[in-house]
Amino acid sequence: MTSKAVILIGGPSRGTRFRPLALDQSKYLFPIAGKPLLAHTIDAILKIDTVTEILLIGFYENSIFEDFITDYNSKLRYSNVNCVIKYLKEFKALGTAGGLYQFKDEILKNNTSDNFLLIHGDIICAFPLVQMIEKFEHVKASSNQGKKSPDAILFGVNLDHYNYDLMLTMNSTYHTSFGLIVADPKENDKVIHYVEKPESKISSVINGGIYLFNINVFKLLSDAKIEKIRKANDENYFDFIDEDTLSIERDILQKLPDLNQTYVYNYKGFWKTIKTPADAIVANELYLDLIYQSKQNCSLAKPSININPPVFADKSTKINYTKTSKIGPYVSIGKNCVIGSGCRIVNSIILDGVEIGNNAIVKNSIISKNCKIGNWTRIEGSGMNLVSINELIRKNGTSKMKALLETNENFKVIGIRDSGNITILGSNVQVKDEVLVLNSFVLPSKQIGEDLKYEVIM
Amino acid sequence: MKGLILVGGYGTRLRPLTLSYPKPLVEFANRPMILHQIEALANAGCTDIVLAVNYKPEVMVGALKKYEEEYGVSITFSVEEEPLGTAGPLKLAEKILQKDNTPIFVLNSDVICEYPLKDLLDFHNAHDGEATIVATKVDEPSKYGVIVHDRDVPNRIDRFVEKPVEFVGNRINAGIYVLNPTVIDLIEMRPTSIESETFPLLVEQKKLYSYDLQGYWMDVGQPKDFLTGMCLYLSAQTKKNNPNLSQADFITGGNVLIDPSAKIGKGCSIGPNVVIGPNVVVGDGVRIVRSTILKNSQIKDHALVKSTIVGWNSTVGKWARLEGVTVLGEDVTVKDEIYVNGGKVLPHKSIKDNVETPQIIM
Repeated sequence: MTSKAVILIGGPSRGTRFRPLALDQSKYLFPIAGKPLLAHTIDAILKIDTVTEILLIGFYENSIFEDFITDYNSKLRYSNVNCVIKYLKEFKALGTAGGLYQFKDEILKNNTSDNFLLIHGDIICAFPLVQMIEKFEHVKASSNQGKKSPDAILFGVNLDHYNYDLMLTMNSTYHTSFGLIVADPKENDKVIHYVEKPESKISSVINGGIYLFNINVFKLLSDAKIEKIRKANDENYFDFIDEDTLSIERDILQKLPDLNQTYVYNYKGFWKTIKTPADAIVANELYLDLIYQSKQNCSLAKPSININPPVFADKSTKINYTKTSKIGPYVSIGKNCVIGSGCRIVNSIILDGVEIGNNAIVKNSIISKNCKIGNWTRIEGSGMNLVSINELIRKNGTSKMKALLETNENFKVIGIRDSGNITILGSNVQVKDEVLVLNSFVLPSKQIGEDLKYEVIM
Repeated sequence: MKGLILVGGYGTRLRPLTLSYPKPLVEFANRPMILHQIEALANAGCTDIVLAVNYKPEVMVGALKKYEEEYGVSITFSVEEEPLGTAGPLKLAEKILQKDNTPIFVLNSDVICEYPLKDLLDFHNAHDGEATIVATKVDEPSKYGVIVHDRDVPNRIDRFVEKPVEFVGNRINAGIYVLNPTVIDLIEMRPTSIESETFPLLVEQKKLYSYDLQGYWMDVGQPKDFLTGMCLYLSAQTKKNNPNLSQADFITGGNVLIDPSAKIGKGCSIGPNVVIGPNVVVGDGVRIVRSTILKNSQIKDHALVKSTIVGWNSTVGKWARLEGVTVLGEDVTVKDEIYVNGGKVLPHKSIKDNVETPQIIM
């Protein structure tokens, strides 16, 4: 059974779209529902009992993840979990597969199985990893060539099944930004074609960025590497070739269908890539929902007249409940915050040490560490969130919804069209009493004394 | 003594409020606008008051009946078949206005000021002219018709300069006059303007004087000015130590008038410059500043209302934010958590989505 998992986390030059939040830290350490984004992925991997090592591959400085990894490893040791997390730093940005090739030996060392799990770190979903492994084993067992392992199990996301994912398809050219998988349902969903960002929509199943690879894919990477070196040395070949970089999509996925041993695991739940701060708000919604519906929902705030679940509030946070305060749904509140009386917080992420005055309303926003928000302030993003999407789809149906989105510029879904529909306050920002901050980004340590609408404050 | 109040039309500039009630009945500082003028006229000794209107004033007749008794005046509606301008109505009502030799007050129903009518009358009686215009001083006279005085006789008007390019003075016509009854003889029975047709005649005869108005003056015919006028009015009440101003502990910055029947919740901050009408219910933790809340409305918990007129029987939801000269018509509902900036909301509407930029909600 699978014993090694790899999470690809890229590097600082890749996280620029996550500003202003990424100014303080890596987006992977951004806390959602009480733990960093990366911890959600790691915890999903830890549900596979057989995994003994999780390798993070990227080109961030070692120091960025040092504390996170040390804490995590001691926590794992303390709870007798036989698994170690390691960070492996690429010597430069190596593309999606260059790091795999560089750290091939690490991945193969002590690998007790013939496969390994690979996850793009910026994916959020319900991570049905155990099911993917089961599919691998099932294909292997039913192989008519005598228990031959498949080359790979791809994670195919069918976007038509989850309301939020459906939003991704509302743009009629959405297929040009994903890899599309064509599989044969009669043959156990064997992949017969893979195409990266095609011009025509040949399939509604997209590559979800999670793979269970047979270790023989390293052969494909070696071949690709040799080919690159050959081209780089070819005097008749004029284009610049960076022989260090390799690509999962081009050098592995596009070659797999011809080898006839790749299958797709069909997934129909929530799925999203986290690139921008608006995506973090979506991740907060989706993960809180996931936790709320799971057995671990005791980590969330108890539903009450003040708490509309799901809500996560750290124990150290002081919320001044009056009978009229209302928090939730989809709210994460960090450590040592003070929330005044009569506050309304919905669909937002409040980081550590934030103070919010009385009678304030915070909606579709991210409030970074140590911000101070005055009385009767309104911190708002006006985009459509999960609740409003679900409501609209329930009322109008999906086809009418699609028409609405295409014709009405005002319908901006958070995390999909652009990011001008949420509000983000950088750390240590102060907002005076009664001020409105609407659909604006405020960089750290600014004082806001007057209303802001659709502004970026440097 | 007699007075004429130029009411004119329904007051379209003050829509959506005037879609429900004629402008004279819209409450300014918790009293119908027209009552501010009726009271001033009654206090100055007027017994006959003519309201010059050009629409059927069914709803006003009933409303004004009780004020006749209260102030001991007789109120007559002079209904124009077609709009007669600012002078025509005087001619139309000449029977009442010329019934004796006492001077006639003419007031513009859109104007809010201190109405020093007694002092004005003394001034009028002291000069040899036929009419007195009340003048107010403005910062930007170039937008108005400016009064220029005679160099030899104090306060006598030499000419009017319409929208002067060069500075010739900063006194403008405040829309309040005292006329001797004979002035009506100068007016023909047709749509005509007192400012551009009657007054020039008096200027020629050297019979027109101006009186300087002390204190505030505001034409409150449209929402933005209605709120500015409210601030001026309330400041003046504070200066006069008007005992009706609220002194409660939730008042911030003063200048707040709250009807005794209104209920205010816990942890509110109200003021400066707020008028709250009868039977209004304000929830807990509400912030109201520079606004008028008309009667029977409800402002729910934690809402913020700023530079807004909330129409009669309206409801503002929890954590809603109204600002930017928002005007809610009668029986409007703003749902919880909604933001409305500069929305002019027609009666009986329910607002479920944010209104981020000033617009009319049909």
